[in-house]
Amino acid sequence: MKDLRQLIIDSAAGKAKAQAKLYQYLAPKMFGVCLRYSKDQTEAEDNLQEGFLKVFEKIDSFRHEGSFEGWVRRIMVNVALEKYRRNNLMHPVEDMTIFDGPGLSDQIIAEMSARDLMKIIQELPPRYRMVFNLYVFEGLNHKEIADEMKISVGTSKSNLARARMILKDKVVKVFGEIENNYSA
Amino acid sequence: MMKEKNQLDDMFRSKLDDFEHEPPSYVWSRIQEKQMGDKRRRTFLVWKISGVAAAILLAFLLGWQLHQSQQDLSPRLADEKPTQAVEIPAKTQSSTSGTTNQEGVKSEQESTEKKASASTNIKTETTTKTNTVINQLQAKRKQYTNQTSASISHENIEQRLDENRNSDQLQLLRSLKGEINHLLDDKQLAEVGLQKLERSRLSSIEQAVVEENAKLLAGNNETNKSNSWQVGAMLTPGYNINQSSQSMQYASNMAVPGSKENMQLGGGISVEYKTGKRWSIQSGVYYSKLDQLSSNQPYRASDALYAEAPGQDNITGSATNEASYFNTAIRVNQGEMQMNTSAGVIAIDNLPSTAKLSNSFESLSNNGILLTQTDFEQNFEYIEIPLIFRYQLIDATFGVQLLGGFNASVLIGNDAYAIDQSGKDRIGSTQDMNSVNYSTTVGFGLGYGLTKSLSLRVEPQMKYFLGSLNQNSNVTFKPYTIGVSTGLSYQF
Repeated sequence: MKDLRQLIIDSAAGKAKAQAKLYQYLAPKMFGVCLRYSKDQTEAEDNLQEGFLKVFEKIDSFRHEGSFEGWVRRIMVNVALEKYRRNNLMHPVEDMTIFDGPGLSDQIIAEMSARDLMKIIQELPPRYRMVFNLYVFEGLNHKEIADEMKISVGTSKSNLARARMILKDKVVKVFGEIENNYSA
Repeated sequence: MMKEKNQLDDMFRSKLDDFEHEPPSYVWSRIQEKQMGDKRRRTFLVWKISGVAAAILLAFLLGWQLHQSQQDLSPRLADEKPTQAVEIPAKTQSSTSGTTNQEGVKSEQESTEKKASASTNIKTETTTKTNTVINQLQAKRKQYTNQTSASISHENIEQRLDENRNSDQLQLLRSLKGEINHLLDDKQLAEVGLQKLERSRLSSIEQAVVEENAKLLAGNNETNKSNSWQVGAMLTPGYNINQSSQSMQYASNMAVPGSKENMQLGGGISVEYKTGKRWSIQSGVYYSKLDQLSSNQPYRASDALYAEAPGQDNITGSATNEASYFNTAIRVNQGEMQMNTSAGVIAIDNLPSTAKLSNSFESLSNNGILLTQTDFEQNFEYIEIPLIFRYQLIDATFGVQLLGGFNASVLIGNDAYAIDQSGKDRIGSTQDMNSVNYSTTVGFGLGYGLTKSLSLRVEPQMKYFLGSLNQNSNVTFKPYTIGVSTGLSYQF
């Protein structure tokens, strides 16, 4: 995309118009990412703001080699990670044993909207939310997650399992009830 | 189980990976504001650094310039005028052992010394006498010159007469030769005498100048001891104690002042001029910083505001935190949020990221309540130009001075921050701060001479502001600082 390349170059040169265009183009997607990593909309807004400030600050170091969107997304994730490290390093969460919950029916899945799922993710405790996001959405393995979050691989694994358990519980609770109501 | 997990993961991924949501428009305006703010701060920082650098350069240039001009003042006459007349009496004054080569010259010098110590009348008389002698000698010299030519011819004559063996003529000529020889001796003596006299005359004329030079030289040595310049670089860790008072009305809606005492680091360049044996004046350029902390207001059930405040989970998102947060009243005035603190009114232009503004308290005079867990910190940075008088109590390798004086402090930085565990966020600045303040300083100066001109200084001192730092009539903010300036000073 030639236009995007020019937009990036102009933004790096400090042109306000180009930066505004770039923001308009990427903000909705990145806000989606930020929402996933935050407990609420306010925190997501702050992360988006901080993330874009970093993007414009470091944009001249973008080498036009990979996807720009991926680069910006990585910055947004890093903002969330940094914030997480600052706030949560001192509060370790004990490892949980992994156990299975009830399965999800296809019907439940079909019923759920993205907005509902987002809310459920946001309600996760910070560490579970972080591990789940990094594993499922950023495609990081447990070793990488453990490095990023300064936790052990075992903790990462158990956190992911715990996150899944909570998520499934909530999905069943919220949407299962809806389903039950419908069937009743 | 694996399949199920993937199913869950896939479900979230498929529904949320490309999830887009338009952020509120104010996010972009906040980004732009921050960018502008950062640019301004960077520009300001550049100015601040270059200002301090310029001040240091100026102080050193000034010191160097004064050092140079003082060298110019020192009497070059005595040092550089290469006249013999000056050198000889100078030697006479300095050495009594008589290292001079010629005995005659020595005695002559002694006489010169005597002459020099005599009154002007005698000097005039001597000069007249000398002139007479010189005239006589010059006459003799003339005579001699005539007779020398005669003597040459006389030798020729003698030769011839020897040949002729004319005894009468020979006798006459021999007597003439004797007289000529005598005259020749006389002439040599006269020459030495003339030299001596000329010297003594020069000495007597220049004696006054020499004395003057000697006096100046001695005076200058003394000046070097007592009138001198010192340039120093000082670092001042200071302990600030904030003293403030507010009107009742103001204090009722005020953030709770945090710890009154705090440590700050300042420092700068000092320039000191010693005016006398014990007194000196000091100035310079210093940087100093003041701090006011405002802490969380306890969350009280009896408080009328408490009942109206939203549940704590809405603010913190977690139930594990202490049941306390900031609930200070905020005025919203033409889009500007204002909060009272003990140091003055903070104009908030950027709400702390974790704060919420509750505006459902219409019955109150204030327009809102700020709900946040953050603490607040107000920073004031000053450039100080002191005028300090110092009195030397002990003047030795280890010196003790008493010092006191005034400072003019120019406000160069005024920022308010919100502090929580995630760091410090700038939220605005304090209103109505005076741009120039005056304070007094008293203290001790302890100095230890490392070398002849370099000394280590340790100066415990107290600074007290004469007036409130804030113009707001509801607030009196008069901190005082106890600090120990430590540094090196160079004397030249």
